[in-house]
Amino acid sequence: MWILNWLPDWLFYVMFLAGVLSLVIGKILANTRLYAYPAGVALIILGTWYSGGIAKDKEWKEKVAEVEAKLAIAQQASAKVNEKIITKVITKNQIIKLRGDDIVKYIDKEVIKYDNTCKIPIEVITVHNMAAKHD
Amino acid sequence: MIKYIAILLLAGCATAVPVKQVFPSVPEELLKPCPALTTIETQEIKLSELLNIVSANYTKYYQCSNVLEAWTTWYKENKKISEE
Repeated sequence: MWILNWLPDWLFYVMFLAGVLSLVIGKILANTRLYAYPAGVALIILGTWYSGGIAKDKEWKEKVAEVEAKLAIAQQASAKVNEKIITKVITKNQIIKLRGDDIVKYIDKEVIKYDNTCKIPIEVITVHNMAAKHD
Repeated sequence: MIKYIAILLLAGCATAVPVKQVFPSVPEELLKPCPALTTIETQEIKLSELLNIVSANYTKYYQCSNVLEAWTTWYKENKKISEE
């Protein structure tokens, strides 16, 4: 209810009371009845409507605050999950790299002995590159 | 008079929803694309050099697989959080 956002709440309670007062005045002073009664009824309707609106608005604001709190908790939990994932990815990638380095060391130590005896045909290179590029 | 009352009463229908749900952020590490595999650029190659390239490519595969696994974890964990 946008109107509740820029008008103070008390104004609608005053509106309701003014409506009641208007009906009372209309009852006491017969010559004002023509205006006092319709104005009183209108003010009572508006006052009641917006008083209900104020209560509903308050209820919604509480629900919004509740949802916002839940979202904040979810964001914090998500940030923690991200932190855990980053740590795990970096650590595991370092382990994979170290394992790869160990294999390279083994190749440079043991396989190197067969470099002169085992000639690699060009077809092997071609197939390797085709597999690597996935052509 | 009734027209103005109706306008004022209908003003109650104009309610904006102020809650904005933000999509959970993804770690930068997971957004990096997998590197291209290394190819042999020469016509001749020694067995040890070939195996070094093959080993490097396997390392790249396992690192990429690790990132994919992390994506699965990220999805499952964030789904669980959003459902709580």
